[in-house]
Amino acid sequence: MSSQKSLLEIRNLHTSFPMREGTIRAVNGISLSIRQGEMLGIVGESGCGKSVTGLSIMRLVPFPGRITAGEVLLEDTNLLSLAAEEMRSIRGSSIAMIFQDPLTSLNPVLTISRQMTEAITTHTELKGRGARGRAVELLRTVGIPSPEKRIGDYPHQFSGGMRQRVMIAMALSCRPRILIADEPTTALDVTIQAQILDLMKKVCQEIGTSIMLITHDLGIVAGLCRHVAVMYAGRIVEMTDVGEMFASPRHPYTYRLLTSTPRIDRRKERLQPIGGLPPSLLDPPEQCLFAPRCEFAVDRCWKEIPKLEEVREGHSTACFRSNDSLW
Amino acid sequence: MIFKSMTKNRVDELATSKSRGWKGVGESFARFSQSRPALVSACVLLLLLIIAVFGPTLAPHDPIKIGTGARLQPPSRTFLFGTDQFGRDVLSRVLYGTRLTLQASIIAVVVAAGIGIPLGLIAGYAGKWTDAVISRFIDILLSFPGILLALIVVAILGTGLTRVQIAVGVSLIPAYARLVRGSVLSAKENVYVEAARAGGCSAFRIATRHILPNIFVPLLVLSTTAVGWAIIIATSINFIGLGVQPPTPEWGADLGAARSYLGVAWWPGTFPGLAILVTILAINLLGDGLQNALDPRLKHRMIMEK
Amino acid sequence: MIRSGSRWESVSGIGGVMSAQDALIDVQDLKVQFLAMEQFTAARKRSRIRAVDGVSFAIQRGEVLGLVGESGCGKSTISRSILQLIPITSGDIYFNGQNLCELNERQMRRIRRRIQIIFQDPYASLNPSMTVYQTIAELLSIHHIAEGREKRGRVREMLEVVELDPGFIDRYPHEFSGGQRQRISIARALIVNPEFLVADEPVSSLDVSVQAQIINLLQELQEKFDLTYLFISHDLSVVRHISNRIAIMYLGKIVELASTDELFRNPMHPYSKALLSAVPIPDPEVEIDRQRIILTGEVPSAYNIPAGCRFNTRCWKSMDVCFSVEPEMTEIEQGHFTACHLYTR
Repeated sequence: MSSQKSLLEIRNLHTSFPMREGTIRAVNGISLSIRQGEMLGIVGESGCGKSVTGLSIMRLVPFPGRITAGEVLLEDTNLLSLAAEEMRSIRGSSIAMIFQDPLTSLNPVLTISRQMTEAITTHTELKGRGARGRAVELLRTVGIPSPEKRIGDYPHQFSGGMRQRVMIAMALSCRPRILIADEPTTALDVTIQAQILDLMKKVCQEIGTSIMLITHDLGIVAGLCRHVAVMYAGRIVEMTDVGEMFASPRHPYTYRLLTSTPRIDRRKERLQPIGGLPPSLLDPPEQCLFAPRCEFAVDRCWKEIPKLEEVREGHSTACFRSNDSLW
Repeated sequence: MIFKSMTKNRVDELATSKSRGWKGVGESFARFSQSRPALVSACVLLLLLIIAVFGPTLAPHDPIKIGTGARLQPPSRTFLFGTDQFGRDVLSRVLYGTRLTLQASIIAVVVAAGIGIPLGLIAGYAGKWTDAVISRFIDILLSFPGILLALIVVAILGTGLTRVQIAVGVSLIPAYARLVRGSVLSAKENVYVEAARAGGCSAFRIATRHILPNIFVPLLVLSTTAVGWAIIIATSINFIGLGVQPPTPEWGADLGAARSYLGVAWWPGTFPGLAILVTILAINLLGDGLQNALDPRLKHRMIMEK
Repeated sequence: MIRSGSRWESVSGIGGVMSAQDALIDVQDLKVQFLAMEQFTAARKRSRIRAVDGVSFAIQRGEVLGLVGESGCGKSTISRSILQLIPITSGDIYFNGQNLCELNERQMRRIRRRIQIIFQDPYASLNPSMTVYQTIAELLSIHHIAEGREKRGRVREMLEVVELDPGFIDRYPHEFSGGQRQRISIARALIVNPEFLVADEPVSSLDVSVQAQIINLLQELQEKFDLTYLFISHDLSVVRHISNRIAIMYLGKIVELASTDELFRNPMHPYSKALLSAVPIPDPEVEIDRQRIILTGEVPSAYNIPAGCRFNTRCWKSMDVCFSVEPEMTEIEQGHFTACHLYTR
């Protein structure tokens, strides 16, 4: 792995939602980086803060959430310190984001043509017919048949898979450096999912866009990503390259996640699930948040927050017992 | 069948730490109290309720006896609201009238709800022909303005206090039936209704135990509005003299009777009129406050908890 | 007694040939059609959606039949049909030899005690204004299984069975997580001691770690109470894990039916192959070497099912006959059925 400078670097990001009952610390100190052309997967279950991380990078955290600490460096610029105008010019052009449900992400009363050309004219010098031509080309690239005709259609006239392709086309229309994809295929059928993931991989390789793929599906990560960060309760608990993570996970949560996922190529007698419930993020205590569900927890786990530390080259984990051979 | 199994896997935690149930009422109350107009209205209405109950004892003079004071006296220390064309104390009349007004509105709402809710339930749940027939019936009722409908009923039943109250109730039936029918139509689609059917529940059970409790909130809000309408309709009918007969003290009737004297004496009409105004305003604001308080604005929190 | 008038001569269950008498559930040529206004077209006429277009299968007592397919294939419609929650256009559904389609609502209500269902959405399938106790005990009252104080005891027992703290008996659904709510739904379904359980995507709305808990629970309960399941899901990994046999559906028809091991060892129908190859496997080494079959084209609209084999718009092995003649379900190897012209030339 060449020591390329990172394209995007997050340093100690904290995002919280102050509520009447207390503060929900959705992102509780995250640091990671993405290099040019890399595909990074962020894996976790619902409520772990992965979506909020993506939104924080884009500074699109919904009210009443606020980014309370940290830096998000796009090359050398801290996105969190930019004025609203400047951030708007970054969004869509340097960093693009696609979401889970393409139906609600697209404006139902505007044609695809309107929505795509809007993005293009805002961020590039193309106008009018030039922008439209570019949009048609993009639709063709993402595999929409007869794009010249379909570009005048409305979102509801496309199927789920096609809408997601349109979203990808829109996101890539300004050749962003980074694409943040938040559960892009969760709402799609599995055969369509395969098409979309395949498409994302190809197009991003062509343009050279880095992808930050946020998902709960370990299978998708295994097939698509080079590096993986596992999130739990607002923190990163393990970060390494994908082969290493599946072959030798060093955090109990990662390990248990792998043993509790049924696989299509194997038949196990019994899955080994993780007992208990995901934790509440409301004013979390100063301890390892996985401890209540961890079968390997010791005293220390209940008193201190484990820091993300390197246990092997390129492999970090946040567990006090990472050096013990637990499994 | 006793099963001692799998206890080690038991899930012994709750997702949310506090039990709602009655506490949920407390939360709603807290939200309600945050709105000043709503709180003030609630107090006003409470006051009115007290007056309605204790009116007779609070009134300083006999409201019916003619000649208690001089005719058409302006407000003074003995007669705080002045006297009307028969020398009766306007204040006492207004106080006594409170009871009648509130009584009318409650009876009207009871009649309207008592008939409208079952109608709406049957129409919404049974569907097809039953729904078509009932809906047309409701449409016919709806095509008449509320007052007109009440007047028609009065024409059929005759004048008199109770008859007016029933008439007002009838005029409000469509509002309830419509709301319940609409709510039932959408509540029917809920998965738990399907689950109840799959479990073997009869239609009656589903309607009463699964659908009705879950449409309670809009019904409550409608009822507050309905009370307001009932008061307007009742007082209007009394205003034109078709309801209560003199000398019964009633706000609408008194307002009507004072019409001819408005040029010389403003007080016999204004005070009953003000009473009507304040009551209806308070009811409407209360209804707004209730709607805001009971509105499930928990979407915010749902997103975080998932 | 062998079924007459059916397409199949034999139905292999877990082992060997079985006659129709062993079948707890026997669905024969089920067709369910909906009338709907076709959306967003100029023609304002009502079109028929053939949601289930001639489906036949049998489930043996004690087995788990997995029903897999993507959205719109009709699997949920089948579950609703078996429970008689929606009207059927044609076909017969036998439960223990009794034809459910011939029963009136009152008779069906008595049968409902023996057939139960678990729904997909744990947040919607419980009445928010009823406590856990009320929800579960309701079925006890309706079917006159228990009355009064005895009900409470039974509900507490059942909560233990589904691994919930019985102390939660008077709480409301919103206080529970998705996985816990699903357990409550399971408790509700099992309190009446049913013979047959339809699980309609029971874990699809749950987090991965919770999914495993519920899958395990369902497996344990099946063994303990000798239940028969129809397990419906779009997730092949889950279905593989829990089912004895699997039926794959596409656009309203079953395209392949075989025992689990057999299906994964030797998938025959091109759609089955594509489906299997599309499911991501959480193992990077396997994933990298995998031969992915990427289907081209979109799923045809339910209003406009293609003539001939309905998979012909996306099939890479289609022949001329596939565009004119609809293939029939045939037994190719023992217990392994498929509807594809490639095998029935």
